[in-house]
Amino acid sequence: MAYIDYFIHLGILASIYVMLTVSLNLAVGFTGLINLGHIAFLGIGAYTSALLVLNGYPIWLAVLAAGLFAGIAGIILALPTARLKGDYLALAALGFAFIVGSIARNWTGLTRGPLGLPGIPQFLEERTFAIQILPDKIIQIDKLLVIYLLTALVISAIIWWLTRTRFGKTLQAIRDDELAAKMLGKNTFAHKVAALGISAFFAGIAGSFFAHYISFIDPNIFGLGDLILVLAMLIIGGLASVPGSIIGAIIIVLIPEPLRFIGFSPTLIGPMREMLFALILLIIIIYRPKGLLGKVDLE
Amino acid sequence: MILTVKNLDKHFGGVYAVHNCTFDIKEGTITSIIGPNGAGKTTLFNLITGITKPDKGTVRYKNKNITGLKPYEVARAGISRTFQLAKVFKYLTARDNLLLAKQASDQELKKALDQVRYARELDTISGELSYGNQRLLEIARALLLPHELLMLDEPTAGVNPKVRQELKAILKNIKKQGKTIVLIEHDMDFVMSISDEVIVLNEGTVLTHGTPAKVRKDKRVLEAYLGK
Repeated sequence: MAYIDYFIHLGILASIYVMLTVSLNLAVGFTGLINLGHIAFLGIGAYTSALLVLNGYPIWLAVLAAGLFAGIAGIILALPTARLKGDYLALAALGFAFIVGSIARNWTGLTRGPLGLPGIPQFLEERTFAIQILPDKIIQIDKLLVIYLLTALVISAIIWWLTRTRFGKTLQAIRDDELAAKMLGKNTFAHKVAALGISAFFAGIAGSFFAHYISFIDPNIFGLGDLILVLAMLIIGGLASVPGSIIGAIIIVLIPEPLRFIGFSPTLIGPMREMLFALILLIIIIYRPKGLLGKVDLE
Repeated sequence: MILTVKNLDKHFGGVYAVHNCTFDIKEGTITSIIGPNGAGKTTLFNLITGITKPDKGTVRYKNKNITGLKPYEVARAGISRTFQLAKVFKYLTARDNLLLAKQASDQELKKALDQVRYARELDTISGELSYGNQRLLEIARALLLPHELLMLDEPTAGVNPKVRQELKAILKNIKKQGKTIVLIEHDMDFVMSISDEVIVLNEGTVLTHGTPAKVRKDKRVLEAYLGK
C-alpha cells in the first residue's frame, strides 16, 4: 500500500506542475512574453487560497479567488511591462516575483512571514472511494488524485483550445511579428495583457492546489528553486506545445525519483537532483533546442 | 483626395528624416514614391501608418485626421501596408496568416492567393516558404485586410524577375478594383511602367510630384540621384 501512496503523491505533484507549465507556455511559447516571474502567480494563488480557507471561507471560493487574484496580479505586471521586449520583460518579471516574495516575507500581520502558514486543509477529508467492479473485487480509488489529474487535464485543454481560437492565433502572430500584427488592426497591447492575465489565472489555481495538498506554505515558494524547475519543464517539453508542457512536467517530476532508491544519503539527493536537471537541460539545449515537442525558437 | 499629407516633420536627433513634406494622393491611382537612399521614404510610410509619431504636420485619410493614431487604429480606418522586409508570421501556416487579416472561407483565401499568383498549399508553415513566396503571401494578406488604400514598401525587393513582372499585372489588377496604391520603389522601369503619378523625395522633402513623363524630364531629379 505504501508504494501506491507514493505513486499517488507523484501523480498529484505532476498534476500541479502540469498546470503551472502549461499556463507558463501560454505566455512564453504562444505569446512570446518571456515571463520569468511565473512563480509569483503560483505564490499569490497559494497564499490567497490558504488565507481564505484558514479564515473560514469555503474551499471552492478560495480556489476561484486564487485564480482571480493571480490573474489581476498578472494584469498589473503586464500593464507597465507588456511594451517591453524580450530580455527587459524577463528582468522586470523576475523583479516582480522578488517583490511579491518580499511582501509575503515582511507583511507578517497577514502572512506570518517566514513562519509560514501551517494546517491548510486538503480538498477532501476522506480521500478513498471504493468501487465494486466485480462481485468479489473492490478497488480503491483516490478521489484527491482524480481531482488533481482532471483539473490539470481541463486546464491543459482550455489553453490548448484557446491557442486555436482567433484570439490564440493573434497571440502567436504577435510573438512572430508584433508590428505586422498591429498593421492587421490588432490591438497587440491589449492582447498581451490578456494573455498574461489568463496565464497568471491558471498559475494561481495551481498555487491553490499546491497549498491545499502540501498543507504548509512559506515565502520560499517565491524562490528560484521552483522557478528553475518550471522553466526546465517548459524548455524540455518545448515552447508553443501544450502536450510538450505536459510531458516536460511529468519527466521532470519523475526523473529524480529513482535516486531515492539507489541508496544515496538524503543529504546528497537534493544536490544530485539539481545536477541531473542541469544535465538534462544541457543535453536538450545542445541536441534539441526546440525541446521534445516544441514548435518555435525564441530568437 | 484619399490621402493628404501636410507639412509633415520628423527628426531623429538633429537630422530631419522627413521635413515639411506635403502631397496628395488621388483615389484610384497608383503612386510611386522614389528617392535616393535615406530620402525618408520608409519614415514617411511609418508616419502615415502610425508606427512613428510625427513632430509636426497632419495626415488626413478620406477627410479624417489620422495623425498620431495607433497603427492598429490606422489599419482599422482602412489603410493596409506591407514592409520592406516581408513580415509573415513565420510559425503560422499560410492559412492562419491570411485568416488574421480576415475571417474567410478557404475558397476566398485561395482566390486572394491566386490574385498574387501564389502557388503553394494553404497549410504550409509560412517560415518555410521562399522569400519571394513570403512576399506574395504578405501582399495577399494585405489585400484581404479590408482597406481602400494599399501601401507597399519596396514590393519587388528580393523578388525574382519573373515575379517582378507578375507584380506589375497584380498591382494593375488591384487598381482596376478601385483601390488606391502607394508604393516605395527603386526599380525605375517598374515605377515608370505602372505609376499614374510619381513623388520624388529628397532629404525628407517632396522634390517633385507629377506624371512619370514629367518626373523623368525634371533636372532636379537627376541631380538628386546622380549629383550635379
